[in-house]
Amino acid sequence: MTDNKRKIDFSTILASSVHDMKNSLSMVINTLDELTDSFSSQDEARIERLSRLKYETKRLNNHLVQMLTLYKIGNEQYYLNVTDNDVAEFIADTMLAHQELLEQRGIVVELDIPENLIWYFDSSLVAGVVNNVVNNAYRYANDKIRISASVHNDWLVIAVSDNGDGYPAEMINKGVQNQTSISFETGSTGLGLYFSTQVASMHTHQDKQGYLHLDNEGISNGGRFSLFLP
Amino acid sequence: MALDLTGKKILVVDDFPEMRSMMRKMGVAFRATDIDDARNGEEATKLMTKKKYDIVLCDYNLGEGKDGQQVLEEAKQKDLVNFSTIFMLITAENTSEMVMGAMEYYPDGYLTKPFNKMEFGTRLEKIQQKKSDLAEIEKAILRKDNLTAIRLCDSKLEHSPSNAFEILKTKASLCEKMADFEDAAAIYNKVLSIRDIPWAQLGLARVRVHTKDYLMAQEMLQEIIERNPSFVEAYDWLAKTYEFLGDLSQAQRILANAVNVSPKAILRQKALAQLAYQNSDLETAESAYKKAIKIGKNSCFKEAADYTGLAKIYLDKGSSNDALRVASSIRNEFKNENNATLQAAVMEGTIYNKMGQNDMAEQAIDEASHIFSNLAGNVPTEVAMDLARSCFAVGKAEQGESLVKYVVRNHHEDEAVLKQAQLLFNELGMEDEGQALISSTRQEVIEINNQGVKLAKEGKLEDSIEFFAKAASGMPENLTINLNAAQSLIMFMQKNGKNDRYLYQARQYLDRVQKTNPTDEKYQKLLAFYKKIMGGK
Repeated sequence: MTDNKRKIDFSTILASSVHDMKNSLSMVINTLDELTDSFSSQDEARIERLSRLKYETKRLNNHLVQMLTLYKIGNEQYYLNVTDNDVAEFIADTMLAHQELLEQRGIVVELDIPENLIWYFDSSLVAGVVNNVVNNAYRYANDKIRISASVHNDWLVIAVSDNGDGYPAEMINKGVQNQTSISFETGSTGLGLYFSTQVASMHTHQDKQGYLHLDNEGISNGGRFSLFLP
Repeated sequence: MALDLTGKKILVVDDFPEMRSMMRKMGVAFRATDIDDARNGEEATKLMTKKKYDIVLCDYNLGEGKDGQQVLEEAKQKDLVNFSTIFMLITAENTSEMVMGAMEYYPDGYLTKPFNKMEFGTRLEKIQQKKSDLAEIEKAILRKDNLTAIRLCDSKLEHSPSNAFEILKTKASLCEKMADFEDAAAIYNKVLSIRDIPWAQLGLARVRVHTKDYLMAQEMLQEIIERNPSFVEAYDWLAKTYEFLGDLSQAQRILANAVNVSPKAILRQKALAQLAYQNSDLETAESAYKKAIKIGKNSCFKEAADYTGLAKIYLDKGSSNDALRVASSIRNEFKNENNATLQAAVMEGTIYNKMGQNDMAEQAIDEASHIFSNLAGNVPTEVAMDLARSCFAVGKAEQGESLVKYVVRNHHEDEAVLKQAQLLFNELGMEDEGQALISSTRQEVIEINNQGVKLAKEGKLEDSIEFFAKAASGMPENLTINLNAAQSLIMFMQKNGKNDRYLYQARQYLDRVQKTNPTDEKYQKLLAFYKKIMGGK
């Protein structure tokens, strides 16, 4: 009984504090935007430092979202809301939030997605996966990111490639699925990768289950992250 | 930037002042000049009452009081927003849990915090587009013109849109409303052949409930819940299914689980309270009614019946004073609402009667009878029966009988109502008198109906129209009489062409049926004929 009560309290605390934290993040992000606007474009150094802050704020937000979602999934409180999505439109919407920062860092985004490609998934969850991988690419790409989507043998593959140094060999050798029992020592990719694996595996169709694949066949042997959805 | 808010009337609702000013700035950035803001749901409702906004940007979490969904419900229910008003809910979390509840109204879109100016603009623009894309369908649904709405869905689907699921879902629910279960099931199966989507599974189970295949429905619903434990709407239907199967304690158990998953849903609390009361589980019923009343204070789903329900429980537990306090509070909570005052008076009559205060009881019953006579046709059956019961208790047998007669006349084919009436007489030890009264009243209605039908069959349509009009004014809730009243008008117009007065009358009878028996087969047929006449010359 007491145990049960504690659990309920925690989810209430979580819900209300997330609301609060999101308000704070909104304020931070928009104040940073205003500050950026107030500097003249010559003030490059300052603008760049602000960009860095914006990026970190975004990461903070992504982590918050991922933690909360994982908490809900763990407590069977998450309702998988699968809808039909126009993939090109979905990616364009998701990239909107990244556009400014990527431009600022001089990274060019290339999209390779056929028109009228419709696929079935929970768009909030998959957007979380894409946000996470684009955030990483922002950090590791040299100056290029390519996002492609296509259907092979009844699987939708969304691939995000960059032209950075690629994933470290041990990450690729281990295989993503084996990293689910994550040691968070690996740093920034820990939570995001764990989250992404969960999201992929929640998407099932008939006897197929979604999964991730990492390799270094991105642009000029850079990293490539592929999400397979049945 | 493509979004242009010039001239738009905008309302921003958020409990956090910085968020309000931030959204205001964003609006201004897109050239809006007319922006109001509100700190909470109550303020928002007040403002919406005075001014029709084009866009409402409302935070979901508004602290104490109403939440954003409740603001939306009230605005829609009370017509505070125009059809074209864009209502956008702003949320801190992923919205998937909001779409899984049983909701009467959906916002036009969601926006998740944090967002910057560009995301705000793009999202709002998208919602504008989507809204105008679906405007014709929504308009048809709003005027309850389901046939047209279905036709419009079909023509959208022909162009394989990217939101096909959404349109299929809308179409299927329209088919359900029209009692066209085969078509509804076909749509759900079509969606399920693409993906195992819970709402389509639920739809299919619902069709089983409608077609009275309860065992199958039970099995399907249990499976849906097992796979999606947070899908509360499935719990509601499983509870209903158990009710139909006569297993009220299982029904209560399922609803109690659903209430745990989402405690703020007022309609579910009410349903739980009623079930628990039927199961004589006074404790659960009391707590659920109390919650329903508490949540209801901020909601458009606030009802006098919740107060009388709670009062009945106190009365059963022997605390007459508490019962009286709750019943009388209706008068304050629902000022100038006759139906609520009637229910308060009826309940007070019952309570005083049990307390042995006959003078007070009589006074309450007189007040109730007076209101009742002015409201006839709009009184819930249970309230009329309670009033009859009180009349008998204070020795006004004649008045009590006439009330029961009224109820029987209006529901002469409704077995459940007739059973209630018989039970009332049984309680009074008037089993035989009751049986005689009920059957003679039924017979009376059947004869009236036959007479009207005979006139129509003989081709005396104008006589039949006049006859049924009179009958329907005496029994405004009677299904058969209303349907036949509409039918004689429709038959006349089929033969002699349409005329505005008859169209209007037919619509009124059909609307009465729509309120109580929207899936009735004859009603559906008449509605189709009515539409055909409307469309033709």
